Amino acid sequence: MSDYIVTIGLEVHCELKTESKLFCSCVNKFGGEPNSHTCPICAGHPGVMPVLNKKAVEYTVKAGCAIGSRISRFSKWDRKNYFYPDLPKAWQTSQYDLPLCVGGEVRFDVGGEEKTVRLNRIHLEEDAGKLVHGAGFTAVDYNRCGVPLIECVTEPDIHSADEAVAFLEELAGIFRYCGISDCKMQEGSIRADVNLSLSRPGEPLGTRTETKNLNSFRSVRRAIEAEIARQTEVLESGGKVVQETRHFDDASGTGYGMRSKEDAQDYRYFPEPDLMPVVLSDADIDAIAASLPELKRARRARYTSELGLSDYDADVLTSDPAVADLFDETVKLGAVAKKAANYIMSEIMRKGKTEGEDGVTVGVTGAQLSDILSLVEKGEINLVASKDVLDKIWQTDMSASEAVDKLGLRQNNDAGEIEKLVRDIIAANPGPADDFRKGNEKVLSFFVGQLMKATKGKTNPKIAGDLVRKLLSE
Amino acid sequence: MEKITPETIRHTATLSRIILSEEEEKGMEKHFAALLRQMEPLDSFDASAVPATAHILPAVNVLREDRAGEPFDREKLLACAPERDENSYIVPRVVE
Amino acid sequence: MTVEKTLLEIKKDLAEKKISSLEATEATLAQIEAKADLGSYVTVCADEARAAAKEADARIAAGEDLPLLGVPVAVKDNICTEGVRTTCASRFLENYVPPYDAFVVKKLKAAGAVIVGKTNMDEFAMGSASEFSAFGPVKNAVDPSRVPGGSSGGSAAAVASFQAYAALGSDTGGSIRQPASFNGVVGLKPTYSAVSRFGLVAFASSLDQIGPLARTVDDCKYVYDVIKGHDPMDSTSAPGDIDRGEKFDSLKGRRIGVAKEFFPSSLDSGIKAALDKAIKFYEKNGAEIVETSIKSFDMALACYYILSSAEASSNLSRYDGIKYGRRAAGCKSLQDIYYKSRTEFFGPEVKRRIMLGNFVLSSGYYDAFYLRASKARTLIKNDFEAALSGCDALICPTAPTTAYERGKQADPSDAYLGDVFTVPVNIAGLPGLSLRCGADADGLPIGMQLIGKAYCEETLFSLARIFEREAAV
Ligand SMILES: [Mg+2]
Ligand SMILES: [Zn+2]
Repeated sequence: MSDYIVTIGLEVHCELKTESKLFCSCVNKFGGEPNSHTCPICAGHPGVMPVLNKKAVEYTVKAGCAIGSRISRFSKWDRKNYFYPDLPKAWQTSQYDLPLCVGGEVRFDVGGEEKTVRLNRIHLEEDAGKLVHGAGFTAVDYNRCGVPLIECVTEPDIHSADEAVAFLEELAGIFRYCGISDCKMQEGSIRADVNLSLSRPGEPLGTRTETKNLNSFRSVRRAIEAEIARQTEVLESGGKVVQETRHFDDASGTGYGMRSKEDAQDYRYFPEPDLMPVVLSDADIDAIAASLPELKRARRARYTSELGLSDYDADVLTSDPAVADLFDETVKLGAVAKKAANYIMSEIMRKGKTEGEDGVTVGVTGAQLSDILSLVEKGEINLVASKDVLDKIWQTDMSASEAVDKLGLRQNNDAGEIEKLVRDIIAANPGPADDFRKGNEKVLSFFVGQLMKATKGKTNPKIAGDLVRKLLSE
Repeated sequence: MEKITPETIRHTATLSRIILSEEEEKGMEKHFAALLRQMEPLDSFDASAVPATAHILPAVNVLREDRAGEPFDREKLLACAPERDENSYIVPRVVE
Repeated sequence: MTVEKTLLEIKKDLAEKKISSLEATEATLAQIEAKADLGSYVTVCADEARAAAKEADARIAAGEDLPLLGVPVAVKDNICTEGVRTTCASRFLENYVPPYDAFVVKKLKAAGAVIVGKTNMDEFAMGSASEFSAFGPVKNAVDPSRVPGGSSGGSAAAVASFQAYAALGSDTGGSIRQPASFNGVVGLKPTYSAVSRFGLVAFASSLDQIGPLARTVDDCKYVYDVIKGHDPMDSTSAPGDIDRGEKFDSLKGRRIGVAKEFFPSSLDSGIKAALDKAIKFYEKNGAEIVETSIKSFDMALACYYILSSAEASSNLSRYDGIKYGRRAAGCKSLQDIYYKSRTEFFGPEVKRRIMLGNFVLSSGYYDAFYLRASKARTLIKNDFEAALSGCDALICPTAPTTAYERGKQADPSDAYLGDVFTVPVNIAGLPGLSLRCGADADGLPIGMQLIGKAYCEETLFSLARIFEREAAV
């Protein structure tokens, strides 16, 4: 097995998160009843015509700028013709010889080493519908038909399943940071086709197969591993790999070749007569490039080198652009980086994570969070109370200070008053007080706990702890 | 120009999703051959020196703003289908 | 008789309340029934028309004035009408009722027109004789033993035989102008992009254009003014005020081009004589006749058949028996649906064009056919631009023959030769107008074609109007 070099190229499809579809004004929204987001245009009725969504073009250019593509000054639209029930016009409107973005590269770490994968192109095209197979019939749903999709084609620079998955994660991160796609695997908004071949060192590349439509990173990994094993076995037993399109069955974990049709590859591309070309000026492209945010990799580096965070913390904080934005905003408003990081990782990300979904819902602004952190810092509330504050202000525009007052959580920092309370508690608990004097330090927390209970947690725990020790030692 | 063979006709029929009887196949072969003769004038210029025209119009950047419109009545579309259920188009089970 | 009035006459009568729209509509419906033998209509919308006429009468009574308020008109059956079936004269769509109106239909309705029916045509507009209709052939209005031309044969015959005051047609390679010529009416193929194609069932998207057919030049222009204009739903629709033509009453200082390629030595002598007379008329009345040339003319027919068939093969792939239209009976698999439905419901000419289109686009042939034709298109477009830079319009015959006998169509590939003078205009995207300029020995109309610069329809109307008024043909 180790005799073979694995060569992989990926075609990655990402749905763009525009408000409307690529060529009609149907809403671009996941889910909904079958065919509830369709109209004569995306259902391919006779006589309809497409009109291109401006934002989809901008988003594609943004994707290209983010990975350093050359943006085409002139690009055009082509028809890719084939029959399938998920394609109502029987052609996919795509870009053939003049895509919006050419070239580019993605850098990422895998196994502790930096790796670069070159992109061949990124083009804009429309998604197809969905087939739902029943007993003896197939139901066709065109809701996804016409949703804008970018297809990113890599050069054959990938050599293992690990590299493929790490690349995909990095690419998805870039697009999430750009705000152009959610890259949600559950919703099929990022999908990959894997081109894979084996060759012996020093020999030309072997015959490749294409495994289509893998819709999770896990199935990309499993499909690659299965295909490497299969091709190895074919070659070892003296056979030849057949160039074919394959499907990977997630349930069984095996791939299978599709019956090859004679016209399978003859898409009869030709220029789309119903759409005019897109011409971009330097100024157009500069404006889009200028709108790019700082991307994941750069932010991660900045968090470790400038803000002194650990690699782990930097990784966690940059896993979601909304989280990283919150962190940056909070620090900018004066919070201590490490404290903000800890609070975000422990409280915000826990609270904002929804079962079964990618990404995190961030329910507070940087201003609200820095307010919480400074209240904790000044001892106005303690960490336990801060969670109630967080609950109160989550997805509202209430300030943390206002919430503290509304909840009556402001902490008692008056040492004189606390001393009185501590004396009462010691007097009421002579047994544990004796235990302390006999050298049992553990009872200290019992007294602090009693105090907190009596004051509903609104006592400064630092002052309370110091006083308990001092008064017990008297 | 090209010589039209029965294989070409059959392949083209497959691309077209049309079944031709043997007789139709022969008729189509003759028709193609006659048409290709009429296409000979196209050989009269140096194609390398001429750009292709895909659009007769000079217009570029015909774009719409990204705004979702009123939803279209799904029933109006499904009502056109030869076979349907409550909310989908129905075909015999597709085997991949 | 009511139906024999021109559109502008009936419009005036309606405005002056000399006649009601319901009366005009009933008269038209009666004429449609009387002329049913001509096969001009696929669908007559009598009920919808009466309802629209009543509404128009109410609006006229209320003092409203709209360009076509209450005027009965017809629409070719490849233009979508919401709630009224649109078949393209194909078995495939014989039960298709569009869920939306074409842009031009919206325009007609907004102008108050009464749509009396959907006119017959060659299936999917592929043909030049209106004999390839699933609903039976159309007959020529002047001589029913002859073809009416095509593919807008139904629209031309309907207008010529007073079954509508005007009609819309579509023209991909001559489908408005040639039937106009065969029936002796006026037909305009506007500049590509001047009239929205949204809702026109696509045949060849880069060549198709909707246009009016009417009995007079002014009627034709009147309807054109209603349907033209920008449509944001058609990306190829020209924005803004597009008219660049000129309105004039005198031919003084006008230049009319005669390109020798449009007058081959083989040209029918009757047609040549009629055209010579028309050219003399223009010259005598002050226009300068300019000799010019379209060197790439010989390539136009081949270029047209490659490009139009290629686009058609793709445009007609959507007819798959899944979303609308017919599905063959007893389909057990998806492939069954595709193959059986397309084999059963497309007619032979449509199959020939789809086959040719898929052939010229298929791998190995694309460069030799499709790409080469796209390049030839550049040459043809340039030649027309050069020729028209020296004159206001070109004049030529609309068709190489007058209406021929029905059922006598020769070999399908030879039949394409009938489009030789019209297809170059679509390739170049220019406006072309056909107008009667005489008759042959059998009394059949001869049509002349005026070809203008882009968006100069008004110039063509002016030239045609002067001829119509003064040439006495
Ligand atoms: Mg793709
Ligand atoms: Zn839609």
